Amino acid sequence: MQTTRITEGRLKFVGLILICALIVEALSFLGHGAIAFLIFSAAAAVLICVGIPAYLLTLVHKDHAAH
Amino acid sequence: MHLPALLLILLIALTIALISVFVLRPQTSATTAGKIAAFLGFFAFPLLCVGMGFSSQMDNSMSTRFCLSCHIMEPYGKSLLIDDPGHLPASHFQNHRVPPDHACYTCHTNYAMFGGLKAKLGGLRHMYVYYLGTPPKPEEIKLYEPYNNRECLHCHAGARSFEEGVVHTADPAVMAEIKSNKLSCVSSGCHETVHDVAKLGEQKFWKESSDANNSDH
Repeated sequence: MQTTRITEGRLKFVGLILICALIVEALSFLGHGAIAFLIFSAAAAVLICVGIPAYLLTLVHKDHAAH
Repeated sequence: MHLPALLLILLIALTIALISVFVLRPQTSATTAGKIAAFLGFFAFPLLCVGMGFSSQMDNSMSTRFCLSCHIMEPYGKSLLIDDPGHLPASHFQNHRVPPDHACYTCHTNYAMFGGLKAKLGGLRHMYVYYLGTPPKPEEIKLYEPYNNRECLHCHAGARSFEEGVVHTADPAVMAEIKSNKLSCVSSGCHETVHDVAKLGEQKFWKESSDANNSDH
């Protein structure tokens, strides 16, 4: 029960990171200059690159806890 | 907005909606269908979004509008409208010898292996200097290395106007020197007037027609 709660909490946290990343990415398409490119690469891409491995780690921890 | 950008926005919206389900109801991921949906929402779709976004941003970074978005480049953009056929970039831009919406990139990329990558790394360096360093005055900007004839010959090699040009063929040695980059196309006495931003105030400018203004730059 405790493990499930921790996993769900992690999933929520990763989900929020990815939602933020995707919103920033969508906003970066409103501009066409260097600032838009910087926002995309320095914020959106970085957050997604953090969020995806964090999700995969959540799966690994979930499996590990189940065993 | 172009269709690929619209599709990307739709994919982003779909991914946000899918992730929101798991943020609001994390227990959904307990079932097999939930696990598959979670994998799509947390892994596959975000990866696709960042890949498509990167491709779109890279495409945008080649546009004239992107290059001229930094204030320091404004005089260079203005120099494309100088009303003088002897002004090399202006005559190329105004006569569509280069695509107007990719004018800067077409001449300032590197037509060699990994040349596009090198040009993009150069662009990142420009952004670093512009936002975090001390940018020079527009008239003091210099190329990192002398302009290579390879970039001109990418289009002009084989063209009749170039191969049979009076000056180019006057001495057989000249053509060989141009093609081997020993004699620069932009050397003194040849096509030497390139982005003369220091003398912009003395120039007359061409006014684009409404059709030209509709082009994406």
